[in-house]
Amino acid sequence: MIRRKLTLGGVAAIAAAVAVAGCGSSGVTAGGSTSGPIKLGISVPLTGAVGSSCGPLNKATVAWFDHINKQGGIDGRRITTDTKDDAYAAARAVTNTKGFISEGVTAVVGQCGSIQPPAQVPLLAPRRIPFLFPFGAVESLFHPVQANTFALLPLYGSQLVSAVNWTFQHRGAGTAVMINTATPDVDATINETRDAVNRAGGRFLATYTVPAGTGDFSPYVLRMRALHPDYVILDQTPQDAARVVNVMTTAQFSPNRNLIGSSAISLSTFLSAIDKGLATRLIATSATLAPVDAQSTQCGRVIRAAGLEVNGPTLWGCGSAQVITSALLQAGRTVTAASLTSTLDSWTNRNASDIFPPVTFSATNHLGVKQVFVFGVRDDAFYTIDKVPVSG
Amino acid sequence: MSLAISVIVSGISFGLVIGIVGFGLVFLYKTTGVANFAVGNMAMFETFIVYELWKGGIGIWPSVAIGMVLGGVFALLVYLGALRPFDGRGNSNLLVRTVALYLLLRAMADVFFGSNQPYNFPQLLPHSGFSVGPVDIAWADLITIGIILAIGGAFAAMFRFTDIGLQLTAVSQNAPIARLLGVRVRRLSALAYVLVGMVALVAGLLVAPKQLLSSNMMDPLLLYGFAAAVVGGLTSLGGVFVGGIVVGVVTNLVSTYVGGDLALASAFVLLLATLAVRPHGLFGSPSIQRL
Repeated sequence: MIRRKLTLGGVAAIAAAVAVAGCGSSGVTAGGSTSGPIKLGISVPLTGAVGSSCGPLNKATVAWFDHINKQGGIDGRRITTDTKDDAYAAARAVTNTKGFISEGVTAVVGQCGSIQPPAQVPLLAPRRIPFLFPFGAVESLFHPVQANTFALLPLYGSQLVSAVNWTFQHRGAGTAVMINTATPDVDATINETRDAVNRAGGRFLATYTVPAGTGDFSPYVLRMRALHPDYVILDQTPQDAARVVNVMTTAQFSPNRNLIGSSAISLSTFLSAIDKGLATRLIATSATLAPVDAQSTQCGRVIRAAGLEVNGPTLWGCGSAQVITSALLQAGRTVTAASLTSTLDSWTNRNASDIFPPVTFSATNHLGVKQVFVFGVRDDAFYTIDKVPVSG
Repeated sequence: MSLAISVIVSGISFGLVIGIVGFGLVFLYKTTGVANFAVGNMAMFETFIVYELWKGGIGIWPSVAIGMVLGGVFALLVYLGALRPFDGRGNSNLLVRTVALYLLLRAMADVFFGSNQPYNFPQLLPHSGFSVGPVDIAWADLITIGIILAIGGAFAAMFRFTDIGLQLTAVSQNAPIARLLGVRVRRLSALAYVLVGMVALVAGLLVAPKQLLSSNMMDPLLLYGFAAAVVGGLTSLGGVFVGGIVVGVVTNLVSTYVGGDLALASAFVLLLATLAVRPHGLFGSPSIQRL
């Protein structure tokens, strides 16, 4: 009897060992596989309100991955992408993300927008699937730190503080007014910026918060004009900022020194919509290099080869893909979600992209960009003047 | 004080632009019996047509001239295609059609023109201005006021001195009686749409350089235009301009001295107060029914 039990137990143990070995050799783990193509899921607005910007961003992302594949991929493993349109809708992004989870992707990348990520993170976090570098300033991506979520775009409030610090240091402290589009975090942005102006030796005169869909910006511009400020700080969507600047032109108002803005307006679409005279007074921050300075970079060449225009969104798409492939290469041939995450956490001042400043992550900080570029305008285009640390 | 005067002048200019949108609503209401909620998006679509002509290499003013003709044709096609068929089905039916038209025009604009919107529309009015004492006045505001007053004057002259104007007045006062007297009501409705199409384009051309050309650029003005029509009187073509001025000045003053988030609310407070105190508006005629 005992011998039979031992024999049966031995058979069971052998069977279990065979099963475990079989699982290991097939290479299937939660969040990616250790052999075969490296599969990445992309949920991105290809249609809808922001499709015109996010579509090219996605094409630039895929173009970089194709470029890497042509060079042999990641240690011989091809990068494949599954791109699904979410039309800038959180619900569709959730559906897409569930699909990626069931497909066993290694990571979810290439998102464009600030509405979708907060809906995607709760699906990916419990499964520890990396969610990498969405093009949207969303605080919940990196505060509090989620083990699997990494960001490259500082919040607009932090960018404005950096922009104020740089401008006051290089153009002189002065008086400032601020105009904002009403958003849930607008009060925090106003407080941060006000404090920055005062700390830098300036005087914060007034702030105006404009509801979305405002039909006439004249009252706000007339009030700003009456204060004769040295600086006007723009904390708005690019469309509203362009409208304000156009009304400033009609009202013959310009600040004594500069307009100051964040990466929300460091786009060629904004520049092309405003009066050229005021455009030359613009100082704006950006997480990526200016297009005119990026033409000779690897990304510049890959973007042009893909038949795309080199601009802010395409540089983001390609540059973030560069950071991803740099991490995949370092993680090694048997890259998994876990190894990708731990690789990123180990980075200090890594030159992972020729479009972004050096990137630093740690287990307690998943916002990788510690500096932003400062842009000016020359010959109807943004150009890179300097770099400035990200505040906060 | 100089700020207040500047805000009032700007408010009058804005108010007249609102008024011209409201004028389209009121004019069509008087001549067809139905307020057309698609007037704003008709203006938007026609402005896109002008923009495409200009982008194609035609100068901006020739594009505007061609656009005026095409705008009238476009509005006529809207009437013939969406509103004329089965127009005896009642005003509620027609009203819902105008709402559907509003949505359809927006969707079509997104499909045909919307891929890279918003667009920078060429400036049609000068950027310069002058000072009167401490008050700065923009030429753009004065010219806007002049254009809209000229349009209003032209319509007033048409109603007073022309046969067509007389017939339109008859239709607007009592369409069934006018029909019995031999007035061709449907033909006049078509003419009304042609005229409103051209007037709507003027509104679009005044708005687009400031608001940037996009498929939703007229949405804020439609709400204000409706308020202007109610305040001025849904049956008064001149009153809607006064209503627009009242709405424009009040909302601008509220934005300046109270807060921007109350601007739209103040317009609707005016609307509700008018409906409560003087339901037919400042210049409208109370409707009297013989029992």
